[in-house]
Formats: sequence, C-alpha cells, structure tokens
Amino acid sequence: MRNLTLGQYLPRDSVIHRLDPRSKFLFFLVLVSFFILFNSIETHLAGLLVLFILMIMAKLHLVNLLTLVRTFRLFFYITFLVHLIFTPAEGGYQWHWFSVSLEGAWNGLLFSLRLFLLVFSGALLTWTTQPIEFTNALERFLEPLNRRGIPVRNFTLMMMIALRFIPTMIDEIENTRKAQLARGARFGGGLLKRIKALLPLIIPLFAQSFRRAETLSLALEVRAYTPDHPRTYYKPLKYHTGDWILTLLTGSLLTGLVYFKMTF
Amino acid sequence: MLTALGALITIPFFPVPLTLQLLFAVMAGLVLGPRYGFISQLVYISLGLIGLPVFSGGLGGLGIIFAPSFGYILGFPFAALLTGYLSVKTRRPNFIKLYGITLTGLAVIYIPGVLYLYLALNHFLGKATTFQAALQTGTIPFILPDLLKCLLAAWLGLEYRKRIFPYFSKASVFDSNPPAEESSNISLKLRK
Repeated sequence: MRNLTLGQYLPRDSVIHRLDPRSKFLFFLVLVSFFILFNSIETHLAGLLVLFILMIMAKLHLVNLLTLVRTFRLFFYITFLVHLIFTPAEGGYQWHWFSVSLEGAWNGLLFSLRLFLLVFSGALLTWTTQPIEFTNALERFLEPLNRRGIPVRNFTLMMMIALRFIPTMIDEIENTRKAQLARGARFGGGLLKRIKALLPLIIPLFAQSFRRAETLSLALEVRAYTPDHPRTYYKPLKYHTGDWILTLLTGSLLTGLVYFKMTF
Repeated sequence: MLTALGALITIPFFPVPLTLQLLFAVMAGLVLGPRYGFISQLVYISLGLIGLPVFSGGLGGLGIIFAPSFGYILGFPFAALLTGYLSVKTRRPNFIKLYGITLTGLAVIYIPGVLYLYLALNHFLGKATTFQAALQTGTIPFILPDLLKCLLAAWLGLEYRKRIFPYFSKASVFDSNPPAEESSNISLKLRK
C-alpha cells in the first residue's frame, strides 16, 4: 500500500485542482455562509447547480459524490426524520406529540438538502486540494499570529511531518504484524484477548516511532532548521489569473450576501 | 525543541480506534503537558479537516464541520490543555487526583460539544430545540463509557507519572518556553 494517496484527495488534471488553495478556501467560506444564511428551495437549487458545475470542471465522477452521501447518510436520515416527526402542523397525522405532515416532510427535505450542500462543498474542497497545500495555505493565513508569538510554524511543521510519516507508519504496522504472526502471535479471539494481542504490535511501533522522531529531529537540527524563522518552499504558493478571478467572484458574492441580508 | 516536537508528533497519530479519541485527548494532556498536548490535538483536528480519515467512523474532510457532533472534537485541545496544566501542577499525584483531573477534562469536552449540538440543531439544521434537550441527547448516551475511559486514562497517567515523568521533569518539555540548549540535549541525557 505504498502509493496510498493520503486523505480524500482525488488527483486530476483540472482547472480547479490547479487553483491556489487560499483562493479556494476563501470561496468555500463565503459559499458556506451563503448556504447557512439563506434557506429556500431556490437558493438551494442554485447552490446545487454551482457545485455540480464545479464538480464537472474538476473532472470528478458522480461515484465520488455517492460515496460521500453514503458516509454521511446517517446525518441526513436524522435531519429528515426529526423534521418529519417534530414539525407541529395541522391537518397531518397526529399521535401524542408526533405529527407527520406534508409540511414536516418538506421541511425535512429542505434541511437535509442544506446539510448535503454544506457537506458537498466541504468535500469538493478536500477532493481537489492536497493536504500539503492546505497546510501551506494555513501557514500563510496564520502568519499574522506567528508575528505575535504564537508558534504557527511549529504547528504546521508538525502537520507536515505527520502527513509525511503516516504512510510509513501504516507500512510499519503491517510489517510488525506479519513479523509477529511469523513468531506465532494470534490476533483473533475475544475482546480481552484481542486487546492483549495488540501489545506486541504497539510496543515495537512506539519504540520505532521514538527512534525515528529522534533521527528526524537530529537531522533537522544538524541542518540548522529553526521553525520560528522564515523558510522557503519547494513549491511556493502562487496566485495565478484564475485565483484572482475566483477571489474577485468571492468578494462580489460576499458583498451581495451582506447587501441582501442588510436590506431584506 | 525539535527533539520534543518530533517525539510528540508520533504519539497522537496512531490510527485512532473508533471511540478512543477521548482517551487520546486526555492522555495527550497528561503525557505531553499543556502546551504540546494542546498543539497535538490541534494538529489532529487540522489533519482530519484537510481530509485524513482520522475522526471516528473513518470520517474526514471539511464537511465534518457540519456534523452536529463536531463540537466534541473542538473540545479535545482544551481538554488536553486543562488536564495537562492540572497534572503538571499536581505535586504528588495519586489515582484519585488524576481521576478528578481527567473528569474535568471530560467536562471540557462536553461543554463545547453540547453547545455546538445546540447551535447546529437550532441554526443550520433548523430544528428549534431547547437547551435542555440538547444537553440530554448530547451527554446521557455517552457518559458511562466515557467515565470508564477516564478511569483508564487516570491509571495510565499515574503509571506514566511514576515511571517516565521523572526523567522528563528536569527537561523542558513541560516549560512554556523551553530554552534551546537544554532541550536539544534531552535525547543525550536519556541515553546516558
């Protein structure tokens, strides 16, 4: 499993994928506040259309969307049911404090759709942006905090190291497991047995992790790496034309949002 | 400094079993101290948000912000901060004291959890709910297993304090602002 792509990133060669993570993230924020502030079927459908267009532009398949829906299905069911049952309404079926009515079903649909839109827009961002790009964007966004003495760079360094070493650790767990199996370990059985069987897996993993962390930190220190100081990047983030267009779009959407909320 | 950072990184990033997140949050505080416990939990959340499937049920990605249960996750860094702070301040820890500390940590997880649940239900899920109802649905189903997890965390934390902490207490892991020369020698000291 060496080539396991980390997280939910779906590599494609598309306009959306090439955008700067910062412009994408800002757009996401405004889009989400739009969904939260407006709640009518028209705005929801418009939002859905926009998201679908973005999805096509990102060369993603409907299958990806279905997987997402499956992961979050429980939340959708609950939202729908809660609205269906607890919307007080006349003319519906009533039993104690449960009342099932058309109005409740409509509300349930509306709010599940909204939840779906929120989750969809989040997923669209995670599908098209690599974790490492996110980390870089985060570092840039939090730069002002860094100047006030909050160790933002340490924090992003930890994230990057974690991103780098999670696949290594997955490999290592697999290796250790096989090695212990070869020595006669059993990983099945009852609950208590299974917990006990994890020990010969966890202890080598911990030991190995500490050893690796030490090597890594020595290597960093030898090279005089100091997380508090400015650094350069292998692939620096850069705003291209597309990013400016998207940011402009985001800005106008935001102004529109504020304007509508103020006047209506 | 980097030695400390490097060692801390590995700890919170095991493929966290489903409901052990809480245990890990509290343990991060007890083992790493307030500062790094807090940061490690922040890193954990951020990794989850940028798409790694580290949250319970293999969830991950930005969409998770809108799950009504996201508030509990927000509580983790603060729980680590508080448990870490209290446990470092405790001079002679015993089981009862540490259990009390883990319980405050638990409370710190529940407060944003319930608040978020309440806000989520009332705002983007559009269901007017009383605060009391949110409190009930947000705590009662989880409280018993969580109390047990706290027992386990307190026991592990005590063993840690007895066996490993003495080696670190002079080093700078628990200082709020570690002096550079001293901390880079931690590994050397341990080896001797």
